[in-house]
Amino acid sequence: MSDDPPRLRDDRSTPAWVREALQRSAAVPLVSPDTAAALARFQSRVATGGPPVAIASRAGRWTLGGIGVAAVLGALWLGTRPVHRANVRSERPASAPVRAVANPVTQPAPALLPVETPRQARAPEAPPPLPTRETRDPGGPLRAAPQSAHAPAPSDRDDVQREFAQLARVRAALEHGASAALALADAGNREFPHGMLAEERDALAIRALARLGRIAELHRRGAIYLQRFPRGIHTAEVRQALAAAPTASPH
Amino acid sequence: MVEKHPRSEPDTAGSAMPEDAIDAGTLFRSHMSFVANFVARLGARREDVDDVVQDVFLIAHRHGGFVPGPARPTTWLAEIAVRVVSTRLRTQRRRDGRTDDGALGALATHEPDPARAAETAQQLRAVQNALDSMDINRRAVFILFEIDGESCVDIAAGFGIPINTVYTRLHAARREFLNAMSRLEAVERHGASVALSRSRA
Repeated sequence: MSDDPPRLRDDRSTPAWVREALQRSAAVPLVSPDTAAALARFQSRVATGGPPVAIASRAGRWTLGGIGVAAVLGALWLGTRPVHRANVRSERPASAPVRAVANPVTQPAPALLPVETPRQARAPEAPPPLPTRETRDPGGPLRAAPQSAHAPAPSDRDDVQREFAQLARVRAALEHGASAALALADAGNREFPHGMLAEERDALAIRALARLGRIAELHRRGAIYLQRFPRGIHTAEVRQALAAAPTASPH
Repeated sequence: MVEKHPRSEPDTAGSAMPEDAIDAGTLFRSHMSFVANFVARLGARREDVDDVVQDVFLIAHRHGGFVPGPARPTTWLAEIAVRVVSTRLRTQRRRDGRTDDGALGALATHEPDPARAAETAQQLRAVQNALDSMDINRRAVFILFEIDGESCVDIAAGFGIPINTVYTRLHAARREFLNAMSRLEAVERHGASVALSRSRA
């Protein structure tokens, strides 16, 4: 007996490739630690009292969660927060009203699953995260914030296809030469100042800068990238590139 | 600050454990692998996983072990793990690089078929990239429910939060995950199509 929704990996409405990826993630452990050695180390730490362990307090979370209104606040927040990230902009498509999750216990399970087809997920109503007014793209002009989150007009789809194709050229160029890839990425930023793939373009540009050994520019663009996409899908890669670069500080 | 934990006694280091408590050593043997993989998916760097696991169980020990109740040991340990990882990530953020291609690449060697191994590594990398894009509390709920197969009730009990909060976090996490995966897939697909058209040309 459970009110839980079906898991994405078991839900036929989930894209098949996502289901398969989740099934493999569930089946394949990321790490296989040496339990015996770790246990011996643990017992040694316990025997000696162990060092202090830095740990976050629960208090911060209880200020919202513990008073029993977190779900309501969460639903309100989802419904009222300003749009600021590409991959969350389509969180509230017309086909999936936020109130559907305000009380998921009483909702049929599918209500918890975003009613979103792969085509909708890829649709260009989700342009990329945008910089603050103070953040200027080193490879192009300041990108203005969108005026609305409306679905694109059909004529915009050609632009999306062109932007994808342009990004593919950047990726292909990176296989052969970082300079050409960097130039293409910057050209893409100029051609698509409001494009939906700025995050990917910038990540490729940063990868190219790392290969070229242009450390100062790498740190400068990396810092801007991290400010613009603090939880982007390439953020970890960018952080890794910055960490591996010779200069310790990005500034 | 003295922490109150919903599923254990307050900090009992040095005092007697409750009779029905499961000691940290037993917990360690039973759930060390679970905790290691959970913290790895949560964002701990590969080289830090062992230390994080140690910290998690040391805290569990200082709480007097696990006292059976509404929560399961796994979700109870997961709640501790989230706080440990969260603290580490904050302190390491400036030099952290999460993408662990070495670990993901090593997984490929477990597959006898090279093509299948590459595909598996790519899928795991995509899942991890999508997880990395989430807020850590949503990520934790998502991992526990979608990958580790825990129930929402057990997650709520382990984290000491209302079940509606679990549902809300899961809902938000699913949207973020699917959006990130769609984005990754779209880029891969378009890249592949361009490469295919070039090879045909």
